[in-house]
Amino acid sequence: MRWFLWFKRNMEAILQALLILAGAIGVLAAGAIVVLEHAWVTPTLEPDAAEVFRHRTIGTEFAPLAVLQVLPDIFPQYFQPKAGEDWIDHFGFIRRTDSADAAANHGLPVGFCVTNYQPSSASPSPVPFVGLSCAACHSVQFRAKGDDAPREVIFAAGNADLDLIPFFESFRAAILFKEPNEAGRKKLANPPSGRPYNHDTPDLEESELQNVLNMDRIEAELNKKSVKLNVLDRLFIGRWLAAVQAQALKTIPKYDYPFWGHEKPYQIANGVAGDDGRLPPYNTVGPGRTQPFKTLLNSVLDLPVNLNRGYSKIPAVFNQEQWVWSQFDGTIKDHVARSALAAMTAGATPDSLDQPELAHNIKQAAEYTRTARCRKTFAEYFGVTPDAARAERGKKVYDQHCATCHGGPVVPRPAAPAPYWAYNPQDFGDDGRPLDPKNPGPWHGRLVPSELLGTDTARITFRYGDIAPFQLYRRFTYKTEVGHPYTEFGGYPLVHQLEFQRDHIRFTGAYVNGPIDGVFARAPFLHNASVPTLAQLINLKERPKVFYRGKNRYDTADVGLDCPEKPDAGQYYRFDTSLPGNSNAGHDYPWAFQGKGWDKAQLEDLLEYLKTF
Amino acid sequence: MNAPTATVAIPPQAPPTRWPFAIAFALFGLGLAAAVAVSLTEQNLNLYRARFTIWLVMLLVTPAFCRYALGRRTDAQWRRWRWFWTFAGLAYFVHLYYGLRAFHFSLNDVYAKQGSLTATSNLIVSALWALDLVQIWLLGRNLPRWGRVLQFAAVVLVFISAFTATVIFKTGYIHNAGLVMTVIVAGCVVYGLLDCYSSRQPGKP
Ligand code: HEC
Ligand code: HEC
Repeated sequence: MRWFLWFKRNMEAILQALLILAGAIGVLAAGAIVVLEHAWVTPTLEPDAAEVFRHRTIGTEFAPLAVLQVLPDIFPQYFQPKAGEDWIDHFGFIRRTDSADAAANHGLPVGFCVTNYQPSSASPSPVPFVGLSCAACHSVQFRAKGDDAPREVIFAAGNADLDLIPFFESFRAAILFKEPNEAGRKKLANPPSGRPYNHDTPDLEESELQNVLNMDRIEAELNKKSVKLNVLDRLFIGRWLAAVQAQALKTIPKYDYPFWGHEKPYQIANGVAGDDGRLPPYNTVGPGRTQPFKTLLNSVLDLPVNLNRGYSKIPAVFNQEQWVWSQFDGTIKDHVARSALAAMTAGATPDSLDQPELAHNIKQAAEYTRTARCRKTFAEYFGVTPDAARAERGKKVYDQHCATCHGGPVVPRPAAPAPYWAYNPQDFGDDGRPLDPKNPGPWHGRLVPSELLGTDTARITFRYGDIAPFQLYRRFTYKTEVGHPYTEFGGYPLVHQLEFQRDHIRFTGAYVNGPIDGVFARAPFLHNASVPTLAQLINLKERPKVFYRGKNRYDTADVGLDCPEKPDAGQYYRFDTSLPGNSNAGHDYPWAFQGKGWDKAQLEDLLEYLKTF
Repeated sequence: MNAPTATVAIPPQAPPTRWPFAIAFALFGLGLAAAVAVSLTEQNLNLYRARFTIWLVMLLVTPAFCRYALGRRTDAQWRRWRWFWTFAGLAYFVHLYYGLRAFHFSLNDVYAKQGSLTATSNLIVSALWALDLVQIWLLGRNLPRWGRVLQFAAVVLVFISAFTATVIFKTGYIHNAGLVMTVIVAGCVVYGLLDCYSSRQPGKP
C-alpha cells in the first residue's frame, strides 16, 4: 500500500507531469515530421528546360516504386502476358539504352521519374513514387523497315507505339481485383451440389474475398528481390494502397470495372473476351493515342463521358512559339496552361501543380516546347537522302497547295536555336479565327471549318466540350466559386502559380492550321493518327480502310509507319477507320485520291520535298 | 481597493499551480502533432495544415477569451489566461506560417485572394497578438496603460476575426465550431459583466 499512498500524495504532480510529457511529445513529433519532410524532398528548380521535359516530375506520380517493381510479378497477366516481353515492350514505352542512365532510373523507361512526392497532392513522402514526365508521351524512337536497330530518341515528338490507356487500366485492375481468401477457398473447395446448369460465378461474400494486391503480398515479392521495407515505408505504402483502393472503388460508377485478365471461359468461347487488354473491346484507343478530353472531363466534371470518341494522337510538340492557339482544335493560347493541362490528363492536380518545384517544372517544360525543334532531318535520322531535283520540283506543288495553311521551311536551314520554319500566325492568324476560303490567305494559325477539311469530327464535337473551358479555367483560379469539396468541383481555394486568363482557353469545334516542321517525326498523321504514311496523306497512295498498329517499322519510301493489313507478332491492334472517331477521310490536299486534278508525278515530287522538312 | 494594513496577516503565497500550463501545453502539443501529421496525407499540405491549426487555435483561445471576460483578478486567474492565450497564439502563428506558405509567401496573392479588408485586418491581428505576447512575457501582469489598451484591442480583434472567419465566412463544421465558441464566450461576457456589476453594489441583491 505504500506505493498507493505515495501515488495519492503525488497524484497531482504525476498527472501534471504526464500532461506536460504528452505536450512535449506532441511538439517533438510535430517538429520531427516537419524536419523529416524537408529531408524527404529537396525541391530542385532545375535550370535546364530540356532536362525537365525529359525526366522531371510534372505531378503525375501514381505508384510507389516498390509496388511498381513487383506488379509484373504479382500480375503477369496484365504486365507481361507475352513470353519474352516485359511491360516496357508490352505497352510501347521506350527503353533507356544508356546503361548508366537506366540504372540511375531503376530500369524504368524514358520519361519515367522517381520522386518523393505523393500522388495527387505532391506532399512529401519517405517512400519514392513513380510518375510520368512529358517525355513519357512526347518522345519517339523509330526503327526502320529492314534495319531493326533502335535509332536515337527524338524528344518532343509523340510516341507512336505507346499504349498508355491499357497500361493505366492494367494498373487499375491490379488495384481492384480480389481473390478468395482462406474462407473463400474453403467454400470453393466444397461447391454446393444439385445446382442446375449455369455459368454463375461462385457465391462469395465480401468477407470471403481479399485484395490480390495487399501489403503481405507486396512485401513477400519484395523479399524475393531482397528489398526490405522499414516501418515508415510500410506505413506510407499501406496508406497509399488503402487510399487508391478506396478511390478506385468510389470511381467505379464512372469508369466501370476493368475486366480483362479475369475472363470467364464462356466469354472467351463466345468471342466476347480475349486475353490481351490492349485489344478491342477493352481498348478502343490503340497505340500512339490517348483520349485526353475524356480524361479531363472525367476529372473536372466527374462524369463517365463514355460516348467520347475524341482520340488524340500524341502529337509532336515542336516549335510551340509558332502556335498562337495550340491543341489540335486550337483551344489553348497560354503556353504554360498547355503544359499544365497536359499534366492534368496524366494525373496531376491543381494542388500538386501549385507546389514550387512542380510549378517550376511545368513552366520550364512549356519553355522547352516553345523552341524545341526536330533536331534531326529525315536524311540524318534514316540515312536516306531525298532526291534534290525532285524535291525542287515538289517545292512548287507545296507552295501552291500547302504553304498558305502550313508555312514552309526557312532556306538555308539556320543553326539551332533559331526557328527553321517560317510561320506567322501573329500576322495572318486573326487570333485563331476560322479562315475565309474567299480570302487568298495566308491562313497561318487559322481554324479550318470542318466542312472544308473533312477529317473526323469526334475530337472537335464531343459532348461537354463547350463547358470544358470554364471548368478547366476555374480549377486554376480563386476568382470563381470554390467548390465543396474543392478537389472535385469548383475553383481553386488559393492563388495558383499557374493561373491563366479565361480568354486563353476556348472551345472551337474546328481543327487549326499549324507548322509541320519535322514532318517525318509526326507519323502517323492527322489528329487521330488514322493515316499511316505521308504518301497516303497527300493521296499519292490510297488510304487503308483497316490496318494493324503496334510497333510498326518506319517506311522511309512512303514516309511513315509500315502498317500491315493483317496482324502479326508486333502489329496487334486492328485500326478500323470505319469506327467512330477513326475516320481517315478528308484533308484531300492537293487532290483527292485519283480525283479531279490528281497528278501522280507531282505527288511523288511533293513527297520527296516533304522529306526535306 | 485598500492597501493592506500591517494588522492584516498576509497568508504565505501558495506556489502557483502547474495545471494551466500542463493542460494548455498538452492540448497544444497533441493538437499540433495531429494537425501536422494528418495534413501530410490530405490533398494540399499547406492549406490543410492551416485549416487544422485553426481548429487548435479555436480550442485554446476560447478558454482565454472566457478568462479575460470573467476577469483576471487573482494571480492564478491571470496565469491561467496567460497560458491559454500564449499557446493559442503559438498555434495561430503556425497557422499563419502555413497560410502564407499556401500563398507562396506572397502578400500580393494574399491581398488578391482575401481582399484588402480581410488581409489587412489579419495582419493587424497578427501584429497585435505578437506584441501582446511579447509584453506579457517581458512585463508580466503590471502593464502600463497603453499596454492594457493594446491587450484589450488584441483580444477583441482576435475574437472578431475568429468570429467572422468561421461563423460568417464558412459553412460546415468550422462554422458550427465558431458558433460554439461564440456562445461560450458570450456567456462568459454576460456572466463577467453581471459579476462585476453585483460586486460593485454590495448589499443589493
Ligand atoms: C499522357 C501523355 C502526355 C503527357 C505526359 C504529356 N502530354 Fe502533351 N499532349 C498529349 C496529347 C495526347 C496531346 C494532344 C491533345 C489534343 O488533343 O489536342 C498533347 C498535346 C500537347 C501540346 C499541344 C500540341 C499542339 O501542337 O497542339 C503541348 C504543347 C503539349 N502537349 C505539351 C506537353 C508538355 C510540356 C508536357 C509535360 C508537362 C506534356 N505535354 C505531357 C499527351 C501527353
Ligand atoms: C486549308 C488548310 C490546309 C491546307 C491547304 C493543307 N493542310 Fe495540311 N492540315 C491542315 C489541318 C487543319 C490539319 C489538321 C487536320 C487534322 O488533324 O484533322 C492538317 C494536317 C496536316 C498534316 C498532319 C500533321 C500531323 O501532325 O499529323 C500534314 C503532314 C499536312 N497537313 C500536310 C499538308 C500538305 C503536304 C498539304 C499540301 C498538299 C496540306 N497539308 C494542305 C490544313 C491544311
